Amino acid sequence: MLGARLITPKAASLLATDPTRAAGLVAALTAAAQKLDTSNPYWAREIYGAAGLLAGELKNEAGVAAARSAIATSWESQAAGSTDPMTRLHFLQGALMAYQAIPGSGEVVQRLKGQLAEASASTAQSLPMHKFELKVPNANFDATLEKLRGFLANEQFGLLKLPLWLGLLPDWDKLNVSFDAQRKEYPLQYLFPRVSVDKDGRMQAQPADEAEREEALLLEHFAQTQQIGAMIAFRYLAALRESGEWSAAALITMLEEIDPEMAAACRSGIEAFEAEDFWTAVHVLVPQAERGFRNVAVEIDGNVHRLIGTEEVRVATLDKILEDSVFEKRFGASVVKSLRGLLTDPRGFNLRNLTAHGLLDPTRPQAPAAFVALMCVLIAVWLRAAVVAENQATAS
Amino acid sequence: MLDQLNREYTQADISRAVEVATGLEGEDSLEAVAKALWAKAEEIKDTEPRVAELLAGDVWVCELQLTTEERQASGASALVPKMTFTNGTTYPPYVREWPDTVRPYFLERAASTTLQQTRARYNDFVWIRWGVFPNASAARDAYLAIGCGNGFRAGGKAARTILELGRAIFLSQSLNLKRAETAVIIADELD
Repeated sequence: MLGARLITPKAASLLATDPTRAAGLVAALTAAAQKLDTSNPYWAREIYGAAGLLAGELKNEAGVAAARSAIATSWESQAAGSTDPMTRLHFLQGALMAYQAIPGSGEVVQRLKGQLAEASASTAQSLPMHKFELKVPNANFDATLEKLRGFLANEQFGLLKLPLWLGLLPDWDKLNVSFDAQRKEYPLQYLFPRVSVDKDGRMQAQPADEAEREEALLLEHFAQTQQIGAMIAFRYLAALRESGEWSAAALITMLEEIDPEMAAACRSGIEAFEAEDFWTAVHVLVPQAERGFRNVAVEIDGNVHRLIGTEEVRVATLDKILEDSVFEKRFGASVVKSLRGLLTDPRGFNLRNLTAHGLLDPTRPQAPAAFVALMCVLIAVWLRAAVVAENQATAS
Repeated sequence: MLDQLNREYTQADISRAVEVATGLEGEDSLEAVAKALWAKAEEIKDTEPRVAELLAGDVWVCELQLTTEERQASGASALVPKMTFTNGTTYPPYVREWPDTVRPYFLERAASTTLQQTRARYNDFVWIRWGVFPNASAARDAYLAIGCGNGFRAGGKAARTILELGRAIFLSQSLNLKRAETAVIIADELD
């Protein structure tokens, strides 16, 4: 029944001009698929798909439902019979997508989601771990450190602008250029679609839409550069700590001067960071960064509340705050993209959501996450201070 | 690549090229026709350069590839190049890039070719490039003629048959070309 491949949406609509003949074809296709159900499930699903498409053109809802159900069952049986984690994951994905197209399959979909999460976790455990080493030449490091010291000495509240200096808020046009250059240099790693799986069963596939896929790849590039940037930043912090230019006390004192509420809210987190208790630091500082950005939103007349139903008002979450157009208008698209990439976009670093939902892995080093959390606190305090200063200047 | 075809051809050049090309037709296969045309173009490039150019252009049309409805839905032409090089050029050139100077030649080739494969190809090419409606209809007929009766047997031929019949369906359905008749022919093939 290779001819089933011929049944595209256009062909189905053409064949449906003779409903009796087309109904006969639906029956023939279904019978052919049933014969192949176990011997060649891939091909059977394709034929069921053709039968369903044709049945759809004939407004034969039962035929469409039967074809979809046969496809879903076929995927599920293959998943049940598969022992290899990656293969099982593939079949379960197919089954889930197929059942999602069948109305009233909520219960099966929920059951399969559980199995999919379990299979993802098992796949993630079975994948080999690759480590890499990054060498920064001392000469480059020393020269950059000197520049950083000069910057901190000349700027009032220089530590507050450290995130800017360390590249946490890049210009996204330039980031795009650097990403394109990387893609040209290492084209192979972008040649194949990728799926990311985590130990806790979370799985993310690349979007099918080209524009969305490009955006996802750029965000992934951003998250990776931030991860590497964080590890390099620790060397700078160590040097500054040694010379007394960076310490928990210095940071807290500075914050108390600018924003006493944030200083009080972040104190234990900053102290934990300096004590290298990064797990505690990230869990204290991420919610405080959200507080900080909410405070910024208040200053720029952003929307920090959301209406539930007709009467209840709740505090807007960080993703909603950053989505508010006033943020982009005030600080520019690059700042908002960076903050979303660091905190709320599942395709990026997504620190806020991973922390808030208990999805950080306690068995892995959390130093980069704690660093990003601390930097986000500094960014929030800096942005708010800048807005307050501007507002005061305008008022006077 | 197409620069050499972007010149005025006399009716004599065109008639001569069509005569030579038709005379070379044997096996009903685009590959065989392209091979024969290329050999002839090489042979006469010094003695009849204009005719040789037209034959070379003919080879490129034969070398275009028929593509799927799915690819067309994402913006591709029904006939696409075989290869894209790193500098962005393609082989053969995109259909949209062909100069108007060769239109009379391909109109004549579409009308006079003796083979079904080339009839489908030239008529479809003329329809896609210049939008000549009767050629779309002729292409639909030729695609049905070459695609029917193969029984979708496994192997390389099946994939080509699906493309050919798929193109006939597409032309018929989207241009309202003998829809009922096409539906019967396709249903017979699928039975």
